[in-house]
Amino acid sequence: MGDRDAEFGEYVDSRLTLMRRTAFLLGGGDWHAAEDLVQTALTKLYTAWPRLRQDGAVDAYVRKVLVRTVIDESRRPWRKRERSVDEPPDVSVPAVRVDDVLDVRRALRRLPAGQRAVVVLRYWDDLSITETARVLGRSEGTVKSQAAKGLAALRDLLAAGRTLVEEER
Amino acid sequence: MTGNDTVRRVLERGFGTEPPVGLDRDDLIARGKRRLRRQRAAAISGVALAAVAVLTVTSMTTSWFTGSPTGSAPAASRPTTTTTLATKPSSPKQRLGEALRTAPITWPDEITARTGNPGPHWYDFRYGYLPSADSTGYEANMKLDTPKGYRWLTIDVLGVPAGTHAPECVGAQSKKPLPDCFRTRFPDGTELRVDAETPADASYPTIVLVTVVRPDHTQVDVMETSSVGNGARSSQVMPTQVLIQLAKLPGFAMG
Repeated sequence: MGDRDAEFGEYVDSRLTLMRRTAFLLGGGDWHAAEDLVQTALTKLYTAWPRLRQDGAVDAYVRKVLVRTVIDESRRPWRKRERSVDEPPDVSVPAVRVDDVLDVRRALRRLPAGQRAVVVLRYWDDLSITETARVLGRSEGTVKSQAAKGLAALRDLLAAGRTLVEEER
Repeated sequence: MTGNDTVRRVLERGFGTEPPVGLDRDDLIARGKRRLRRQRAAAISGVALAAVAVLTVTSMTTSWFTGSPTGSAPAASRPTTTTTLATKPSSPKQRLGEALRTAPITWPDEITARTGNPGPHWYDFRYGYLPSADSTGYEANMKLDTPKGYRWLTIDVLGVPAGTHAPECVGAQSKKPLPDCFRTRFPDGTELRVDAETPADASYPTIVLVTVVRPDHTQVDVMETSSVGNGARSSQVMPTQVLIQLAKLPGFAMG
């Protein structure tokens, strides 16, 4: 068990920050939710570690768990009520930057979970269409159309957010 | 916004000032070990349960043959009737699935098909949402097809600590009473809460959540909901009374 813990620990150290960022985007822009997601994924990963390590499928497994947990959670409106809402960053930053941050988070949150997953896997994790389709268990055609719809929606939501912010000033 | 780098930069803007990581490597390993122990314990208890069942039935059949309650026939002459017992549910997931499959409820005629997610059967359970690392929980998720579109039915069965109560009928964040929610307690100590949310806009789904907390330290959440658009149906299809029957199924005991 010692080897398992050491190898697993090394993997956690090397991936934790990136994994939390992916979870943050997948979960719709909430750092607390992102940590919950990563914790769930890594706890599951630990139990399957020997098999996955041997198959070289660790990253793919973690992505699958993250995406599946996000999509499952998106069907639980009651539990979502417990999630925190928009929070400006703790550290002071220029006002325009805060608006930018919140705009992107709001826009992400408004994307359907499946579309958000496609956008994040394709454009943040830089997976190919084929790899994205494999993680999500969908056809490549569906991934292509979801990516196009997701980007269009993100663009529209960001444009709408910008207008609102400008009107409020 | 078309190039991959542009989209990546837009997504990066959402990070803002990144808070320090609150996860600890040793804690993650400890949680992993606890989960591993639970899985192994569940597997061992499943095998033990099946072994006890085999012994019990073998002993009973021996008594029938010999007419003696103590079963004094020689070991060599004992009939071996273990074939049907081999299919007995051997894990909590299988046991819960069997309870759901054989539930004495009437599924509405409107439902033309039930499909498991991820399957292969509509009644399959898998490890589910866990409120804490020490909880044990299983979930079944199925798509209900109807002529008016599909709905999702999710059943979570959780082992909960003694003293757990069904949630109050107030909003978790607003702290205001929920309009279509009721809560009651049965004479056996079972607590029931039913919360329905019917949006004013009929294109959004009605969501019904039934929560039962039982004296055997089991909490069962049964939720009927759907997505928006894409062939989804916004109105409820399962009568609330049937959702309650499901939540109270004796076979869902975790204690």
